[in-house]
Amino acid sequence: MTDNLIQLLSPIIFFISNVLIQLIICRYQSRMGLLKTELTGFLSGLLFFITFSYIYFTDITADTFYIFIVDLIIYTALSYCYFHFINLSVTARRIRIVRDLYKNEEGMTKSEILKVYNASVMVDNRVQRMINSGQIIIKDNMLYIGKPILLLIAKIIVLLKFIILGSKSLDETNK
Amino acid sequence: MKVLEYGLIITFLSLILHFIIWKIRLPKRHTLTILWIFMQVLAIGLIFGIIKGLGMIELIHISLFVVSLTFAYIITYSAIEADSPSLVMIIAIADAGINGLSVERFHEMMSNDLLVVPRLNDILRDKLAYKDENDKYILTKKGKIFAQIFTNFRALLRIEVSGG
Repeated sequence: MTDNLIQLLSPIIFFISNVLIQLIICRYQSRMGLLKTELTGFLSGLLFFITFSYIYFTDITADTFYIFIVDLIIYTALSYCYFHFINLSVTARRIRIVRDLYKNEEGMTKSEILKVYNASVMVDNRVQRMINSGQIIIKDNMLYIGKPILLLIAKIIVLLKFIILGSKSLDETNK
Repeated sequence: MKVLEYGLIITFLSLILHFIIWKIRLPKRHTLTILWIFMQVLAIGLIFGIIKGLGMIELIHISLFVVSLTFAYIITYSAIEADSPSLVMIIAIADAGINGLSVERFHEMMSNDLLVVPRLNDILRDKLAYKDENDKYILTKKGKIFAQIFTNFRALLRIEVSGG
């Protein structure tokens, strides 16, 4: 019973440790980029989790191994959600617009919203982020693909969109 | 082993059901419908587990497994549902090939109608805001809570860039 309870709680406890480590690093080590703090938090939590499992479950049976896999999947899935939660708070358009509206209690018209946040602002923000991360290269006022990681992710997303939604774009589907 | 078996079966059945429903007709509220499908299949799976004599902790473990995968899938789905600007941009640059894409042409391609207006419509659809008689977007109570969560979280992380 105790073992089962520990197995159940361990991915949650180590996920919380991941979040706490990331938050502490992010607050007190501002020079480290956000992505590096996320990776450090994830790897630290994972290391604690694997070490704990190795020490606690000395008698490795098929059952403890399968439970370890289940807990590893839970830990990874929760960390993945947290990673996206952080990224959403930085990059998501909907959140940016909602935050702008929150600052203006009396509300904003569409043109007022577009004055402070428009495609041009967004493109500048994102191009700068992608240049900083090496995903795109700018040379003589021309843009080129740099590291192919984001392009690969983009192609996978387009493929998934086609499989699940039957189109290249949902905005296209809704027209 | 049972937790892994039940967890995987419930997740795969939910995904299959989700794909079938999507092939028949796209629902209005994608995320809510996915959540509803996964939680219904989980409930059925748990009832089946109780009949098969699984213990309380095993049932909670299965639920935690399925719920964490459900949230991970929903987050991934949100990237499929909405056209991510960064991905739209990277594809546009890739399509230009070895000659590259001029910054001016790039700005012309990335219009408000493509990048901002669909998200404004989403905000209304998701009832985060409504339009008043002066055509102003006003946050609803739900929208204010949503904004507060992210504003506080950004303050906690000391994120200073305006983002988006």
